[in-house]
Amino acid sequence: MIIQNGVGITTLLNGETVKTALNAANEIVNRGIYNATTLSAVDADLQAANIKLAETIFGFLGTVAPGALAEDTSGDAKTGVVGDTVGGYYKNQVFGNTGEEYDFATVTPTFDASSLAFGVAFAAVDSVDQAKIRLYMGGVEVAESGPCGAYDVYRVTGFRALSGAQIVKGSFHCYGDGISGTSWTKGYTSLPWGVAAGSVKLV
Amino acid sequence: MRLTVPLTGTVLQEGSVWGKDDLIGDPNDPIRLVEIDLGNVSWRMVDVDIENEVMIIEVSPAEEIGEDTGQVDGGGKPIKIRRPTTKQEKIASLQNAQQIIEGHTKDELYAMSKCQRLKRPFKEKTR
Repeated sequence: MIIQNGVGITTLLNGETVKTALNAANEIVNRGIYNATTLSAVDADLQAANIKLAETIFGFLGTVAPGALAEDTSGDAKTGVVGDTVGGYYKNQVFGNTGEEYDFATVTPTFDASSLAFGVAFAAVDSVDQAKIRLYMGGVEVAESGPCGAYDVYRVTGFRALSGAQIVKGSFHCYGDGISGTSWTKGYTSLPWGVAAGSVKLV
Repeated sequence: MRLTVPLTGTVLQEGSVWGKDDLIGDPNDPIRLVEIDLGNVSWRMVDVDIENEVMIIEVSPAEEIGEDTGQVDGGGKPIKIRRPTTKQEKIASLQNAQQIIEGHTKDELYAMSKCQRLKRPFKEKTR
């Protein structure tokens, strides 16, 4: 036995030297005698490819650059009903009661597991003071517009983390009773309302 | 301006709107603010505090407002135009939204909106 600083260390057992081994599961280095080795042999994760760029850990110079963003889904978009009355120019959506909601467009993109999803819902609306546009992403309301009080194109945007196939939709929500909502397009090629979604991911 | 608003709807998957485990709502009963009209403001989600069942939102006053011209169209419907909101109107809009939310307790907001509290059937089964 060797005595170091008053502490005994067993060096022989049954005639053989007692060796202590490093453990990749923790950083503790107990007193003892060790076989010569390399730290990367103890823990294979100790390598340049797992260390941040320009950082050095036990002699390994890191090569991992900060993640870059790349396009994930490519901007899936869909428009709602073009029009079903008065020569196809507009749709007259009537809200009868407070709390009624009309989903005007839906897309269901498939997002990567590490993606940041962005959505936009838009509609041309004519004078519906107590209706507002909502954007839902993955079953969560992420944005709401102000009142659609005069003819204009209203839009809301939002973003959140999403993965897999998830619903992104735009809707009108009614905050008043007996409100008549009109969506008005000027011309056959104009579309009254829609929703679009895209995403980026770290690579 | 940020406000913290109680949530209603149904949770299908517990998680976060920013984390690796996505918070997912029922598309037929989505996770949303209690349905109270906040007035002449728009808002966007900042975060969801699922444990306290509230959403933090960033509220912005409307940049324009619909104003009645006094005229009507062929169908008798009032014609409105959009005009920029004044600074005073913007401040008033924000104060109105703030008063609606911060001037009432959580229980009062659920009662005012007639919305149920957030349903979390999988609350004990978080990953």
